Amino acid sequence: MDTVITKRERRQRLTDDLLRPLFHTTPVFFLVAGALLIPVLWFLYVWYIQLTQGLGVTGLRTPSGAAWGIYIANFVFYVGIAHGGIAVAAAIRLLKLKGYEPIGRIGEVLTVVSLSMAGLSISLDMGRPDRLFNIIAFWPQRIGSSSLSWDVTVIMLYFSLSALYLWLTMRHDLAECAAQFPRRAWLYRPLLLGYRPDEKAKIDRMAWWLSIAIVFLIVMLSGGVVPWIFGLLPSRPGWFGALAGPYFLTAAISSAMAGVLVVSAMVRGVFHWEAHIKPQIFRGLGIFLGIMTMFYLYLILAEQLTMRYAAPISEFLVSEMLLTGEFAPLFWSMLIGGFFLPALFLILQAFHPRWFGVTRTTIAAMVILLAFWIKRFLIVVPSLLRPLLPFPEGTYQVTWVEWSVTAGVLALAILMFIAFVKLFPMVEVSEE
Amino acid sequence: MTGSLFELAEIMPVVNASTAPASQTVPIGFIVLAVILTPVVTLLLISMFGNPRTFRVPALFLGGFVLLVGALVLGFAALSLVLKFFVPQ
Amino acid sequence: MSPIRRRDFVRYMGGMVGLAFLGKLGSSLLISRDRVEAGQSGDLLPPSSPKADGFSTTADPAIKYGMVIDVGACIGCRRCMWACQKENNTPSTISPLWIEVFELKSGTSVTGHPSIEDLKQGATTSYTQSPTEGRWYLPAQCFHCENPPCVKVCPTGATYKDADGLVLMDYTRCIGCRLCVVACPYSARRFNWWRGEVPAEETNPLVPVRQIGVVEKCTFCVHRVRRGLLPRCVEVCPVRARHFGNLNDPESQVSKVLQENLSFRLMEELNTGPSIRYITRGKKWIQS
Repeated sequence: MDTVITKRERRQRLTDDLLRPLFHTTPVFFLVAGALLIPVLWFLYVWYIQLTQGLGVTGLRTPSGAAWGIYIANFVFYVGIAHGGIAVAAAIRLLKLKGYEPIGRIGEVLTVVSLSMAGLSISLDMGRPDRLFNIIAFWPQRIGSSSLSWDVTVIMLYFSLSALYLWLTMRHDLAECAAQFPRRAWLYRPLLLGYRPDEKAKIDRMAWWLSIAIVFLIVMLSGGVVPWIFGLLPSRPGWFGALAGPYFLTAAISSAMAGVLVVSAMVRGVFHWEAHIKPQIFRGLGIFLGIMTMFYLYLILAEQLTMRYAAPISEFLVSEMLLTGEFAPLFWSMLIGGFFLPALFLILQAFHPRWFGVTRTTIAAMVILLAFWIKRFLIVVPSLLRPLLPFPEGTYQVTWVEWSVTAGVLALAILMFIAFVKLFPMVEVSEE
Repeated sequence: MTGSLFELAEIMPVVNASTAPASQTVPIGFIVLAVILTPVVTLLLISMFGNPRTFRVPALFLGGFVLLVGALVLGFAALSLVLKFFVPQ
Repeated sequence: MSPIRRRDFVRYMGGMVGLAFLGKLGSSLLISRDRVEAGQSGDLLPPSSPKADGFSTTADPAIKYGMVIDVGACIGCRRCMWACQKENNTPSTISPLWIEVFELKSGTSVTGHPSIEDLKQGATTSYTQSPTEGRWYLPAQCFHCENPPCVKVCPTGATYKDADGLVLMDYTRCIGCRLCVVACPYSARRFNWWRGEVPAEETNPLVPVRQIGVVEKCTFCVHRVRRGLLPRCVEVCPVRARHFGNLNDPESQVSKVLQENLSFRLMEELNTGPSIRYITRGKKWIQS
């Protein structure tokens, strides 16, 4: 009898603790949201300038210069991050990694949010975003050959399945929320359409198979249609090659892990969920991230060696730009400070548990995440600055417009995430 | 492809422009699409059938899928429409 | 559409109707005027059939347009560049223009490919005097490939390959994603980063003025060649370095020029099948 009560009490306390962000909103939240709203509004204004005056307000130019720039780097970056959540959630489900369950949903939300930002980044890069619908309208006749049409297809499919996965696995908690917090029923009711408490078994089964489908789609998206936009084009030295798929996929999974790690640490810190999101989670994620990043370094070595050993002059020149040329400071600081040292630390802490700390791991992950953004920039831009015909050398100076847009998109992503935190339960209220 | 080599060697009389590049006969995109979609559709079908034999959740899932894809397509159209007011036509 | 452009359009439409009535006489008058301008004779093109509206023309699948550029003859005067700009309503915001003429160091290249030095430093495109001793000139524009990568990647079909070999743009369909720009190994495609403005009195009514945010490139003067005229760049070349015509016709001037000379194409290894061939005047060692 006694134990039953404590069990129920414990469960109640757990539920209260995990649902607290939904009920209690401190002024700090509004302060943060307001602070994020400033770059978002600024971004909307800057976008207005770009729409009315043209993409000339960016530093992009062609053929002397870069036809694509940080908007495309952002796109690849956000698509990469979008795999973290679902990959973690799927790993939890498929490999039965029960310990990681508390961060599963954080990752899933990250997926939906960052995939939206990827779509937005593409629209921002388009010269005629007002004709966006043409992609859909001419989809049937272009899907047979256009790599961009493949991208749109797979991203839409991936987005839909991820969002549905999130929705299905959240319904149980939503029912609890609706019961505990009737004032917000208007939000939860539509999502609970046709809910029955006994549906969990079916949802678990569906989610298991759905996880496999989504893992497969991760490979086909970040190791498939996204790298194939670049890797299938012999017109651009540095892009062309079969390595593009595994190369992008490794970057995507690594940056996604880093993203989940950083966001989870922040959520944990803000809501004092130290008891629920245990340090072991960060240790495990950190080791995995370290190994993946080291593997990525090996891929960079393979790539650079191929571009230098007996390569066509065009490939060699792009490699020169990276290793000794104008991008060398960025490249080497990324390689050593951004990838190697943090990854080494993350791996070493596996052998020296005393070196481990959640904050340290988070900082290392943040550095790696930033390095992966730089890497996307270094994939997109240098190849474009060296046309195969001897056009005069161009440069790419990122303008304030592009920085404003990049900052605004990031702020929008964070805003969407914290809005979600305030409206939906972020950690699965699991039955113990 | 070999046309240019023959041209240099001049072994055969040159027939201009008959050196058509080797091009694909099958639209490769359909193969890519099939490779991506077949496993996904199969896995989704597996997820819907099987125990427990209830079709309420799969129906919700399919309904949600149709709604979501529809919303995305409509979103494309809506965004295009809104931006038409900003981009100089 | 500005009033002046509309008037030009009406005048042109009237002209077409007039031509239809005058028949052969009318068209031969039109052609002979250009023949005088071009200072060339004998290499006029078979015109494609005009569309019902008389404004644009349809592609004739029996024709395969191609160009031959004599790099030995080219003096790098760049008259083709400027004439093309005027002919095709290219705004000043498009830079480089549709045609670019590279000034290259000689001595290193036998295939017509730019030398390593040229690739490293970029060729001179801003020269003020030509020809310069010890330099040669490589004009480049859209190569109207037989297997065009730009057409392959386009998500809307805004760029397409027509039956007569021309790679063209539908400016109203282009979404400005620039995937074609990066897919083109010849960097032949330009983008309207700004809203390009062409003074109304200088506008060629036969060529659409491009909108903001779309891709554009050389069309081989589709509005001329399908009416039996030569592309503007061919017409204005003072040293006759450019030849244009139907590659399917062995009697056409391009075919003959190709048969008589050694020729090469740029980046043949990329399997794009460019429709522009380069020649240098010289004897062939083995006569066929």
